[in-house]
Amino acid sequence: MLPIHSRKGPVTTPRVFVVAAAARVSILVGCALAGLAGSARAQGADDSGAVIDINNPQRSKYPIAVPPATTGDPQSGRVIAEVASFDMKLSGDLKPLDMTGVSGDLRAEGVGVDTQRWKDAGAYGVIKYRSEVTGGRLTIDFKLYEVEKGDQPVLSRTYRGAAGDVRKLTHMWCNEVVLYFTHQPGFFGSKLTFSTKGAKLTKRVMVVDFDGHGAYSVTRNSSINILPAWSPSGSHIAFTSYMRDNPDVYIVPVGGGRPQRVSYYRGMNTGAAWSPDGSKLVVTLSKDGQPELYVISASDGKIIRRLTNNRAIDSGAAWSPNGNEIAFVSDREGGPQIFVMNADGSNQHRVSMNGNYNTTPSWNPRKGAHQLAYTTRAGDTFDIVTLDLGSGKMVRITQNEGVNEEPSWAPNGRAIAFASHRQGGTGIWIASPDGKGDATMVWKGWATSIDWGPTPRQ
Amino acid sequence: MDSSSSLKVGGLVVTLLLHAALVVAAISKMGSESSAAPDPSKRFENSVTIEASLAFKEVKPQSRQPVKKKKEMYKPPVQEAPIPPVPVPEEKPPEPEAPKVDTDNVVQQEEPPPAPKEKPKHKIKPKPDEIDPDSVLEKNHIQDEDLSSTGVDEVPKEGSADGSEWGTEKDARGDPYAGELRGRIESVWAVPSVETEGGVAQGCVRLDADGKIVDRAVKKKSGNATLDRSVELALKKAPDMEEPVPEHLIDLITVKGICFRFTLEKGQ
Repeated sequence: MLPIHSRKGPVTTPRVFVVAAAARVSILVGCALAGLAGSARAQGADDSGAVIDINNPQRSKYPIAVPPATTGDPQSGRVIAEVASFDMKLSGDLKPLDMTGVSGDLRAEGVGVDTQRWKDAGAYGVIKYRSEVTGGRLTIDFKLYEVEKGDQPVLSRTYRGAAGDVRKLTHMWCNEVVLYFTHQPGFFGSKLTFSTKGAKLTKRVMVVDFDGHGAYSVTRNSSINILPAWSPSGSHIAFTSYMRDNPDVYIVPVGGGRPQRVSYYRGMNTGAAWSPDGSKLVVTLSKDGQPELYVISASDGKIIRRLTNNRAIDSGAAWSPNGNEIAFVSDREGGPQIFVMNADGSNQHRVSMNGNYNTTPSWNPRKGAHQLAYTTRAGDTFDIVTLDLGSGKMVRITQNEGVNEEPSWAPNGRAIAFASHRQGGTGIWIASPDGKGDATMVWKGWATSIDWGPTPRQ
Repeated sequence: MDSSSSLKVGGLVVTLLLHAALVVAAISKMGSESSAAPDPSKRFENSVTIEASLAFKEVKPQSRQPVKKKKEMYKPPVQEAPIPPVPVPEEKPPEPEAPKVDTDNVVQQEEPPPAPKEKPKHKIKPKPDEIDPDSVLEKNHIQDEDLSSTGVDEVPKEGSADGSEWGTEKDARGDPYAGELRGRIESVWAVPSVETEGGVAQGCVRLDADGKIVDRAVKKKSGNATLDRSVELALKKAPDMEEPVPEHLIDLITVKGICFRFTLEKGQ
């Protein structure tokens, strides 16, 4: 029971009225607007009033302002503002504040904040920064404010690097911001790998920053290179290539270099998925006729065990983050469906129960999650859904937005990247795993087999 | 007509006369008694009504039972129609407060299970001097400010839904205007999902007679910066009422103001 007081002294006998009961509503007499500033009537009124309970808020993203630089090096300042705003937009839990509602001259603030200004603009938090470039070296001071906590920063960091590291350093800062609010590291600075069309009928394996910057090809042959997969450490990429005519599995350093052929059994060698410790791969081999799943050594390709054995096609494997399970696609019950088995091949069971066409499973890497994202056919198109394997709850990530395929989770599980061919463009898009909000295109162009790599260590 | 027939007719006549005499005697006797005693059926009716309501009213405060007991009390009439709310036919001094009893019961039932110990201090004492004559909500008189919740089903249907897009029918049962105001504020209350610690903050508004919000403030902060900020913004965004404040709420809402307790459950 809340204490009830008035300027006349404690109200000894509260009077109570019910106004509404739908959401635990009660009205309590005894407290009112006595504390309202600037209310002569209220201040002069008898200190009695009513209190109504409200217990059911909507949930929203955290509005955080990233104002333009007003001090320091203007060129890097512009990049910082752009990168930080984009990162906040993709973070999943935060969103950049629309700066059109911010009034006044920000220069006087410097790296500090006038909390009332930002409150009036609707901000919860504010990111301030100052960058300096001296002798080719870049120094950035970042500060994070929560306007409700006053004008002292709640988080401060200073980063130093080469003048060209402005994006990288800003990503590092944004990871700290996400960590501050969510207690989980962000995914900024991570990279995506995917396959795209090359000259003629060739296909290349590409690597690009999660925000679409810095794209480059890790394959340089004139062949078909598809199905890339990050090693858990992020140092290598396994992929399938026809460079020697037969589809074989290769591993290449992420920075490029000579690919090492690790699986070249007779017939098909495709779809490598790394074990969490990076020592093994699950691949699809057709050396015995039907495509079946095998565990092989990532170093020399030797078969460790066969996982499936039936007349159907088993492929598209994905190793669970804890290493205990493997999701895969099988048409053993008709159309392609998502199955899960133990890492030793036992307990194979179907988990996708919607529709008659489900492919490309991807595990949510978030700790404690037991969840898949996959492609499902919906009528004449394809969409992304997530499936919680514990509760069976499904969430549709895309709908009525063209063709959407091949999802891959962000390393912290707070976003999903996928290939989309929609009105807004063909390319790689990133969406929130709760299915809310609009997706954001991060890379424009034909892309398939997207795999999201780990976040680099700070 | 033979002799036997005449005898039958005579007997019938005698019988009729005797019955008529008895009826006259009975009527005259009843007439003399009715002036001295009230209609027994009415007395019974009154006593049952009063006792029943008193019983309900008494039991809850005494037993201090949390919500669930109320539901039990409500079942009897449904499941076992012939059996009245047996347990509580205690004879309390029949008082004219009976009509408010149901509401009290409802509130108690809705209370959260914990913290029943605090209630004994605020037993139902609907003394006339405690009733705010200005209050619109007088029919929903409750005993305790902690009464927080749900037994909506048992609330008397004194305020029906007004069809507002803001308030639900249940909200409107108490008072449509206050329910709608609450609905409008709740509809703009959004807490960032990064906030999971929870807390309770209190914000207040005052309206002018036309229903426009003229004052707003966070009266009690939770200490949780994100929650407090969300409450501040909710009060700021709250749309004005489209209808003027009803006469019976003028003092409450335009002078004293009305406060909202924003509760965010931990992990919600």
